[in-house]
Amino acid sequence: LFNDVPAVGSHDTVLAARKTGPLRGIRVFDLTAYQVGPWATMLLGSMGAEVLHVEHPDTDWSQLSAGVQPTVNGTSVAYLAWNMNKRSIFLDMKNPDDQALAHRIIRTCDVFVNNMRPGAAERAKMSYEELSAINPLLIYCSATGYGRSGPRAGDAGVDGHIQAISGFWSTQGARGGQRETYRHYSQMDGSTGNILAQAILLALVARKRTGKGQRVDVTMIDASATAQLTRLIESLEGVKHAAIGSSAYATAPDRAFKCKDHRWIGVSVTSELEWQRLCSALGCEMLKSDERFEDNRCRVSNRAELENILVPIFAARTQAYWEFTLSSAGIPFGLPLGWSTLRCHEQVIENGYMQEIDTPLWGRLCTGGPPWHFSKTPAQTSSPPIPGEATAELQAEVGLAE
Amino acid sequence: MTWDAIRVGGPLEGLKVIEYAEGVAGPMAGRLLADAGADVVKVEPPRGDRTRGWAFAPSEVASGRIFDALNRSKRSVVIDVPRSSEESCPAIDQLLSAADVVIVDAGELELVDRAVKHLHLIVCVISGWGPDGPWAGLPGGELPAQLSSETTSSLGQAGEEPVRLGTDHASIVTGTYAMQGILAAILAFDEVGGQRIDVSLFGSLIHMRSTLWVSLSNPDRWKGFHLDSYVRPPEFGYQTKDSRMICSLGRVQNAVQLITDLNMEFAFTDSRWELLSTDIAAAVGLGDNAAILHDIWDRGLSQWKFREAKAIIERHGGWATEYLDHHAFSIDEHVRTMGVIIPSAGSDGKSFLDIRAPWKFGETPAPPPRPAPALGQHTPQAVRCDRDDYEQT
Repeated sequence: LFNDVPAVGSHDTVLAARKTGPLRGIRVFDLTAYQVGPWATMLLGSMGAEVLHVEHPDTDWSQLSAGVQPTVNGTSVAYLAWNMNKRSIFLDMKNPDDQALAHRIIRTCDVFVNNMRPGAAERAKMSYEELSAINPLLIYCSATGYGRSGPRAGDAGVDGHIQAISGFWSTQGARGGQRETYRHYSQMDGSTGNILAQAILLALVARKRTGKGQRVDVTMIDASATAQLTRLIESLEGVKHAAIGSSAYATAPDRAFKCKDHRWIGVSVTSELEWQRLCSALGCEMLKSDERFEDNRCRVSNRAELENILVPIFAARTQAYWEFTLSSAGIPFGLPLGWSTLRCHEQVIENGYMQEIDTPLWGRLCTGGPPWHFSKTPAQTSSPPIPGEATAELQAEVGLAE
Repeated sequence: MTWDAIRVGGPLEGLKVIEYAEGVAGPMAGRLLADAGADVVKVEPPRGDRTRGWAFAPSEVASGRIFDALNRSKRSVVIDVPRSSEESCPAIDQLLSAADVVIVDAGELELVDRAVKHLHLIVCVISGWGPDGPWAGLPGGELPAQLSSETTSSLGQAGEEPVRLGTDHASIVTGTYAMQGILAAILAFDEVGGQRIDVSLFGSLIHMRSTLWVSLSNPDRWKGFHLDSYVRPPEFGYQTKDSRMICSLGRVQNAVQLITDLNMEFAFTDSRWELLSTDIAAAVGLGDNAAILHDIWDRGLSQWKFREAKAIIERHGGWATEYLDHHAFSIDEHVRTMGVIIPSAGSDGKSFLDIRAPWKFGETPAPPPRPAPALGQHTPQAVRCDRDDYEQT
């Protein structure tokens, strides 16, 4: 089957992933749009699953995946960023012929994923009852914003809105200022996609044991809560999170300091051993026995006093001095890096954390590399497909199978 | 030695996991595995997981609950693992022989070495910066990963003190990816046996910003909120009489009527009216011109209570959502109807509020959570790994 895929540009790597990844042999019918569903199936594709991503045949490419700007050679960046590692088929889910074709394809699949609004799957003849009757081994997954019932069930499950309602905005802001929104709108979508991919994998593992498919549901509300677990738990205990800049809520000292050359360095002390090491590295042995800073709880309680001591110490030396000193002492630290630095940074390149992908129509795209490294079953990143490119092959495959 | 996994149902029933990891990332992966029914034995050094000492000042009540939430449904075993992997340590070696999966922090070199010698094990190694490269041996963390992946560039003002994303995003996302990697390796096990998986806080955050990297690669022009997050001022939402809100107007047909209905006629004579009216979707929320037009909408929407504004906007086909903080989220009628917030038991035996597992399975439902363990609560039992011993505790 895989030999029939045309070797267009980076399709070599699609093939490579399907030969090496841990999910090789798994086939996914991907009836999802926007970010949540496509993000999840993109991860499965990176791990070697064969993902058949469905698009409507008449879609304007600039409007794919909600038409998120910018475009790259006229195609929405969202389509490109969220549909790597997949094949693409055109189906009009309102057309009975295409519905029948979809059913024939789904018979060959292990997983069906959709993020249609409640009721839409039934209208498209894609209900759990129908599909599980066709294929009892099928894992049937749905992602929704707010679930199937309740007062907000009809509301739009869109990243910026989910961030607002789930409180993702409420635990950060400039020191002493108002709490502010996270302006990279995609993290609640991506976090839900991650949970969705997890749910699919869990059901596949369960199928190994039970020999049965099943229905799996994920909501953006649940996923967003899990993504904010630590802060949410504090809030449920009655904690109010004020805006404290780069400082951490539960650990201290754990913040960015301005160095003599006006560059910043982030220093993160989260254990007693690291605190002892920091005191030594700063030449402040007397802080070790200062009862205000005796353990993390004391340091968090007296955070302002502690930071008042540390701010001038860091301001007296350059970033390079602190980078050397902290790394020698084994204290966690980080430096702010920008896109152009990151893209060619040794640490990024040697771990494959960003990858340059040659695409058939969109030039060279840089994207995040696989977040997991498997020693025996490597994951891969490959070009998004030209919309609809695999339609004829799938038609031929399931036509012959009939 | 036998280790009969505790069987409580769920998709991972019967899976035996050792967690030798602390902080947020590794324990988060362990929590998710335990939520799905795996039997997770948490191995701690005598000093305990560092999160046992994490607290939010000045509140005493919140102390330790981060640990409890991250470590619910696990057993705790204290083993003083020798610094050298050559030195004998029967307690840990027996556990490794009997387990299916190990989650381990990269800094625990001796345990990584011991674990990878067991060829049947799926060993998931969690690091700050990844297994290769010049920073491979350095300790990492939440803020270091946020700064270096430039996650902080979407907050605050360029040139000012970086603003941390308040949730432990690097750590929690890494825990999520660790879980995925482990599950995928289980699926590949029949073919390849055990293997090592590496995830890192740095790599996970870079991956989560993929949409931005693709946007920056070679856009047709600088447009849209992905690219704009660099140049926009801090965003606080729109202020109504009783709460902040976000709105999206992409489906609004009649912009003039919407503006009129919101009593925003003052906008008609504003010098920016043409910009506002030509593409209503771009004028608000995440739209391209939203930052330029923000004060017009703030003035208009501040005349209304949120519910009133939402009703008008929805009548015109738009969407509006209020800003809830975590407390308001937890008591929201819809969230309560869903049952997201659940009671859980802490390591001190007291009840606290936690959140449910994030997936719902038709055939293999996730089991209800069990209490977080006190330090070393199960030591004598779990080293023998006898189910009956556990149930007596």
